[in-house]
Amino acid sequence: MTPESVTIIDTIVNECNVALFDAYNCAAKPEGEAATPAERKVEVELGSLIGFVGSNARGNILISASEGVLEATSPGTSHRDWIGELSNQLLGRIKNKLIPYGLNLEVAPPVVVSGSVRISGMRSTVRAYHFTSEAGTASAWLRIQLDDGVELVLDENPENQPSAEGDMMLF
Amino acid sequence: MSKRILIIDDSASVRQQIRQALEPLGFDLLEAVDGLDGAEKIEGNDDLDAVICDVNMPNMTGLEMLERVKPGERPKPLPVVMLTTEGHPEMIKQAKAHGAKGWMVKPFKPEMLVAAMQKLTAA
Repeated sequence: MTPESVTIIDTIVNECNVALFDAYNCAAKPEGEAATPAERKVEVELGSLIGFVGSNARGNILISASEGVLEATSPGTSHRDWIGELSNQLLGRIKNKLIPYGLNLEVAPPVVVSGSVRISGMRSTVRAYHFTSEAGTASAWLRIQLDDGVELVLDENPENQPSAEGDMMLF
Repeated sequence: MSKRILIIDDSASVRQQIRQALEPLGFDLLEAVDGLDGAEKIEGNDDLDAVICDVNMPNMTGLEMLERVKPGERPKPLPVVMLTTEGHPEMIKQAKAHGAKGWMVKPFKPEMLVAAMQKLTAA
């Protein structure tokens, strides 16, 4: 993947994380720059892992969030259930933002995990993102592998734009 | 008489969030945990006034559920709003073709969901 495509993905993941937490009244900001992690194995208190595949890309995403963030974003619900749904919504946002770049991804159901998690694939294709808020911290590890020759090029055709989060369309 | 709405979502948290938005307004709510459970509840309950349905779920997706129950062809047409993380224009067209009456990308704004349910169940 070219450095330009990596920058596009980093920007999308950071914006999607911040926007998602903001939608649940939890102001979060990136902590440091996105980077390739030192190891493929990460320790999470509670996390959720989702795989995805498309005609020209594949990968997976792991997100974890502290108890404080989970409680602040969905008070009174099961944290195990909510981390799965939160990861689903985060990947949904990322996926929708990648549609105008020509990536159409299908996602698997989330798997809730805790403890030591090994992210599959080459370590060099993994990017780690960390966030902080008054309620606590959250992190995401994204591995995305584009097919040879595929790069991210923005298509601004209005017909290829996804619907925005929160919008209601009645037919 | 209160309007009866079926919520189909594999996330208990989302079902609870929808319940928190609609229950105070007097809606009578029923829940299903995936598309298959939802299809069976629709087929077994002729008194439903509307359905809110996720797309990506185990056992049966929301789009497969639409294909099975054909909400627009029932004796009493059943308005179904899809509430999902998906926003691809082709998928929205597909849902519309299978009889969905609305599409909303998560996270939902409670006031918009309430307005939609009030409009769709007004008749």
